Amino acid sequence: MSLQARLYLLLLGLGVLAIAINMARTKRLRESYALLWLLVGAGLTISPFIADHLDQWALRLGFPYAPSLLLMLAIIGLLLIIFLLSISISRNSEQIKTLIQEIGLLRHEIQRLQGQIAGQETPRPPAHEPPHALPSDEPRDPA
Amino acid sequence: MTTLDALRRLIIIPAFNEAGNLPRVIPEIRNQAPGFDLVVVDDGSSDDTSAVARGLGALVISLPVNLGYGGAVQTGFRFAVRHDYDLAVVVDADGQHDPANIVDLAQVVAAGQADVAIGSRFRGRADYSIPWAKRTGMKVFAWVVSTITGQQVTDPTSGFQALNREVLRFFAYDNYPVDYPDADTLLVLHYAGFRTREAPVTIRQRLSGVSMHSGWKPFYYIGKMWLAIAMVLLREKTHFRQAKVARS
Repeated sequence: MSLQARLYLLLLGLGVLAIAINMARTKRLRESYALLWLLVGAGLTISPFIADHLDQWALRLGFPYAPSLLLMLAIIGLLLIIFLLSISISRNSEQIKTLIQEIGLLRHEIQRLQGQIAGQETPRPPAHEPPHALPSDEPRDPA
Repeated sequence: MTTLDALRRLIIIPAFNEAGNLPRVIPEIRNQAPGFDLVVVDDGSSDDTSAVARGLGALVISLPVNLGYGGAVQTGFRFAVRHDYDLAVVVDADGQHDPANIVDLAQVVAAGQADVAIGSRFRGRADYSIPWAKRTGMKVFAWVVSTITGQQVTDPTSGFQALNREVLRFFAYDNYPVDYPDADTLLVLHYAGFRTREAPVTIRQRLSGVSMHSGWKPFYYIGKMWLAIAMVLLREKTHFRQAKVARS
C-alpha cells in the first residue's frame, strides 16, 4: 500500500473518531451507538499500520486476493450496524405503540374528568370503577 | 357457571375512518347487546370517527396516530383491564360482524365453556363471497392451527371474539400482534393454556369504505403469518409463563 493511501485511511479513521466523539459529547449520538462508530474509526485508524500483514492473513484465511478480505470485513461490519439498528427500531416501535395507547387512554380519562368537573352529563363512566390504576402497577415493558 | 348479567361486560370497537358506518353500527349493537358498555377505539382516523362515536354515546379512546387493527384492539384490552371488566367482545366498526351474535359469544365465555369464544363464519354464515386466494389462505392456516392444537378450527382469521378477564390481562400488555390477531394468536392462546372455542356467527358485507385486506397486503400477510407461527412455536414456554402471571 502506498504512503499516500495509508495517509488517506489514517485521516479517514481519525475523522470518524473525531466526529463520533464530538457527537457523543454533544449528546447527538447515544453512547451505545457512539461505541459502534468508535470501533469503526479505530479500525480505520490502525488499518494503515497493519496493511502489510493483510496479505499474509488473507492468504492464510483462503483469500487469494487480499482486498476481497477487506471488502468482506467491511460488509460484515455494515451489516452488523444495520442489524443493531433494526433491533433498536423494533424496540422503539414497541415503546411508541405503548405510548400511543397510553395517550389514548389518558385522553379519555381527561375528557371524562373534565366532564365531571363541568358537571355535565358525560359519556357514562364504567359502573363501579376501581381506584385509579396508575401505569406503575402494570408489568414493565421488558425493553 | 355465571350468568351474563352478573358480569361487567364491554364491547370494544376498533375504528379507523368509520364515521360513515358508526351511525348504523352502534345503535344496532346497543339494540342487540344491551347491558354492555361500549368503547370505540379511534385508531388515528382522519375523519370524524371520534366525534361521531361520542355523539352516539359511546366511550371513546382516540389514538393520536394510526397503530393498526391489533394495536387499537389491544388499547381496548388495556381499558378493559384498568376498568375491571369481566368480559369483552371485539366487534368491527364496519358492520361486518352481526351484532346479533355478540351475546352468543359472550355466553360461551360467561358460562365458562371457554376463555375465548371465536366467531366462525364457516360454522355460521358469510354473507359475501370471499376471494379464492383469501379462502385458500384461511383454509391452510385453519389446518395448521387445527393440527397443532388438536382442536377443529375453521376460522383462524376471525376478529369477532369474546374474551374473559384472564385473557384480557394476558393480551393487554404483551402477546398481542400490532397488525392482525390471527392464526398465531390462537396458537399463543393454546400454548398459554387458555381454552378457545368457536361459535357460529354471521359475517356480513361491509357497509362502506375500504377493507384492510387489499392491495399488496395479502402477500406480506402470508409471509408474516408463517414467520409468526414459527415464532410462536419457538416461544412456547414463554407464553405459558406469562399466562400464569396473567392468571395470578
